[in-house]
Amino acid sequence: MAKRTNEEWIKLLSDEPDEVALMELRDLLDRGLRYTLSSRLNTNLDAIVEDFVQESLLKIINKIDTFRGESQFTTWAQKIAVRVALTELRRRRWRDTSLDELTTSRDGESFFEPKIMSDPNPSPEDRSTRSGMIALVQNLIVEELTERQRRAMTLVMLQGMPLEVAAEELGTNRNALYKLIHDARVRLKKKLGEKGMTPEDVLSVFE
Amino acid sequence: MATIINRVRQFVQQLFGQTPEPEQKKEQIVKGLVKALDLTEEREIACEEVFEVIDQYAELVSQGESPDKVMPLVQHHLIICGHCREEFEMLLDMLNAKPA
Ligand SMILES: [Zn+2]
Repeated sequence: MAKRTNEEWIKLLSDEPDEVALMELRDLLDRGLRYTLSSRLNTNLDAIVEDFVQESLLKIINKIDTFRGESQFTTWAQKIAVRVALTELRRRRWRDTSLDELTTSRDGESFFEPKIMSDPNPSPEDRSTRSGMIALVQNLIVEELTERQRRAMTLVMLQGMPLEVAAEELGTNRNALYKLIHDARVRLKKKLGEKGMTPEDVLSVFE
Repeated sequence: MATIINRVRQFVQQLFGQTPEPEQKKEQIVKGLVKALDLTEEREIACEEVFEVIDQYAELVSQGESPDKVMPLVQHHLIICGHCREEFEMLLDMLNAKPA
């Protein structure tokens, strides 16, 4: 592949994309995706990589004017291809496993949304027992988090739903979902601190 | 004998989709959650901010630089967020793929 500067890439791919440059970029993404996916998947790559490359090229061309030149153009293009491929692969993985585990992954489901609270105020002695500590943490969740935060944590942290899928479920996007859960983590950590405890203190009870 | 009874019980529980060990399951959840709290910082960047710079970050790492000093917030996000970590690892892989 011809070694090009970032400026040359941008010039060749803007407006009417140059055929040769486009083909070389296609090859680069195809080779890279095959290389990295071959160690991660044991499905037929031919069937999926072509679609990923095609979708990536469209994205790259469409947002080429957002490229700020802070990395090699090819690295920037590759990160877009990775995002395209992984977003789709995570969706598929989730679709498959959630069908498999439909009957077995239900346990713990109501952890963040318990119907009955075990003990609203565990005594200091209870904090040294596992069940006391569970009650304390569960209480913080119920009292300090919003319903939306609890729902988000259930989907992402408990059920392992991919961020993009959970975001759709909650009518938001991956970035906002990360922030929603971050706010929840910060709040829980702070409230734990107000009870005079660090996360390490809690973990020590379970060792 | 006890194992057989356990197996039967497990089977029945699976059949009805019930929790085998509710307390144990809760312990697991609490531990996972609290470990996440342990890593939680007041100031974190979210996935999109990481995506903005992950190409630069990957280049630095593949050149052997120490990005925890250059981009500590990105490094921290990659510890917390499995999705972004997976994307970063794949990008690194691609940078190392041999030219045809
Ligand atoms: Zn992320």
